[in-house]
Amino acid sequence: MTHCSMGLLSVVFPTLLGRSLVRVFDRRQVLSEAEHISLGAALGIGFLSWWMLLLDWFSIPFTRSNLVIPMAIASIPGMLGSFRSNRSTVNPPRVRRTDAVLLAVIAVQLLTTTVFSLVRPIEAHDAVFNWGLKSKAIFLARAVPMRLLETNVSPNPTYPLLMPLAQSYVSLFLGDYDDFCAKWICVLLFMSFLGFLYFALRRTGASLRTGLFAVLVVCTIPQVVEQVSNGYADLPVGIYFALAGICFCLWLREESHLFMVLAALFSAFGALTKDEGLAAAALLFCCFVTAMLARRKGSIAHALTGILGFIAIFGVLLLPWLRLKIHLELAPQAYLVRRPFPRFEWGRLERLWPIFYQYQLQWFSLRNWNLLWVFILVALAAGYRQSLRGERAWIGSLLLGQLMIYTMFYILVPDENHPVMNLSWYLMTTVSRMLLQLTPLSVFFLASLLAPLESRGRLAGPGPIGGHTLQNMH
Amino acid sequence: MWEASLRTATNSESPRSAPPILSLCTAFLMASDFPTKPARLVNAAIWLWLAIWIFLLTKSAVSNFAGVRQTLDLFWETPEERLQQSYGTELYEFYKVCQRILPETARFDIVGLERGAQDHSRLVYLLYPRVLSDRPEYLLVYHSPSHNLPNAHRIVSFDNGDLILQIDHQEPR
Repeated sequence: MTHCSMGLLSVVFPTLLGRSLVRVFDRRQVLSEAEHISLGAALGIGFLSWWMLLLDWFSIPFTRSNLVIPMAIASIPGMLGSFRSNRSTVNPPRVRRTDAVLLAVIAVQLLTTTVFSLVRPIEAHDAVFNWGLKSKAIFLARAVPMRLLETNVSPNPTYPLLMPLAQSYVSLFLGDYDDFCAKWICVLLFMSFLGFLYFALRRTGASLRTGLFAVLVVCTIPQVVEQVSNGYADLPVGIYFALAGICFCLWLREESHLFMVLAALFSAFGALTKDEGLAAAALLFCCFVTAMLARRKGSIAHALTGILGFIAIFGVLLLPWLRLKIHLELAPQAYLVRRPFPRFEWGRLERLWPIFYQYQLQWFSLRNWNLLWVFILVALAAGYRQSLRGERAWIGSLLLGQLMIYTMFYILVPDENHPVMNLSWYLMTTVSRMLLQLTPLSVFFLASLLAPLESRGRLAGPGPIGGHTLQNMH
Repeated sequence: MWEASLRTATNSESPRSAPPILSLCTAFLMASDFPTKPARLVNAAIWLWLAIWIFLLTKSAVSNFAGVRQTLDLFWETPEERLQQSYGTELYEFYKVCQRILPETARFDIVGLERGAQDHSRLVYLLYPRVLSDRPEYLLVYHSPSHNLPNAHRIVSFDNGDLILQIDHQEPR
């Protein structure tokens, strides 16, 4: 119990760090205090891992003081800054009976998910062998464990390290390796996402009920609940992808630079979580460049500044990891775990049939997803004209693009001559996890399709923020 | 629409089908909250979602009652007991002995668990900083009693046939 409370205390520091950074970025006070906190947790975990990579670059050991003191110092500006927290995201809503039921279900579900998550240690296959092993090695070495990663003991040694680093931080804080408390990281990320999902939907004009429904959907999807508690990195990468996508959507809507910066930061943290996050970040960058150049407002120089800013944020955050990755790719043992280079042959397009067959099995699996994908398909079919307009079109493009990337992976990578890692194996073991990575953003997409129904057809009007216009934001 | 669903729920006669009863409750709760026609769609979506969620929860709890009880038991157990229950009693006990016998710098290999198998991964994880190696100093024989090596001597043998062997490496002259 004491360990559990200390584990909770350990994640307060990254949350305060993230909150402070969001407040520093939010010079024009676009966000409310509640949004600062909800974004702060996800941002803090990302910055913590980046800081640890930076320490490793300069051969500084990961001690509690080397981690906590800089975080505490960086949190001070957020606490001292004279910040008028008068901006409310939404006008105070009237809570009806249904909303109260939704709130109660969300509260109960979050509580049980957290408790059941923390009562079990890291135990699932990838969670122990991939992330947990690295996390334990980082804790014991007080550094990135090159000895482990350079040998073929570690599976996927070139995988990004955000999750193992963040998990090992909890143990470093406790002073003892803890298989249970490491899960606080995933729980915190999940809570952080749910909070921001709600506030972002309210910003885009969704009613209280739609916002709560979206939160309820995410926290009651069986696949999501399972992944919050098992220590895999698929949900965290999906959360970072979704946060980046939502911030991108808000940037398109409100044109505040803050959201562009946040989108760049979250997509970089997604890339630091899993390789799929890098593909998602590249996709988001392409969308950002297209949107920037297609805008009629501002000059080309302004657009180029934005694009270069995005690249700069990305470069600064990814550099410490890329240095390590290149080193590990060149390690003598790397060939043992390296996948064969993808080759394209026309015959491989025949794989589309089993791939889509597996996709539809998942889409219509109530046991895994409840009615999420069915709702999205119905909402798309019913309101395809609306869904192809404005920010929704961009979110839809991001989701479709990411799904296409996964499909390309299944076409190109699996080797049919391999005794185990053939297409069938990949499909059986990874499709549900690939869809899980899309789930957080998909829920936002679904809710933004439902939102106009309740607000009587309003599609892209200003959000319900009191007196908030583009003019007074800049 | 809600009236129709209410009727369907009321007419359901199956005594053990929880969802219709719960659907009835949900429909009742939402009855006063249908202000506009489009909003009914959102409400219907919420109602349907909650009904399926409750159905899935009930179904999994009923079909795996022992698992639910086991999980609930975890609350009253010590961390050590939780680890034992999560990783499996036999594997955990085997790990505890290995942890006691093998030095932290030891290289080992596992016999009896296939590489990539869940228990293999768990054992490798639990035993770290002792590392899995192609050139092991110790051989951990788990559930494979017939296994023997001429150049290895037995350090520990368990009642169920599990062994810890130390390999005598003959250095080439």
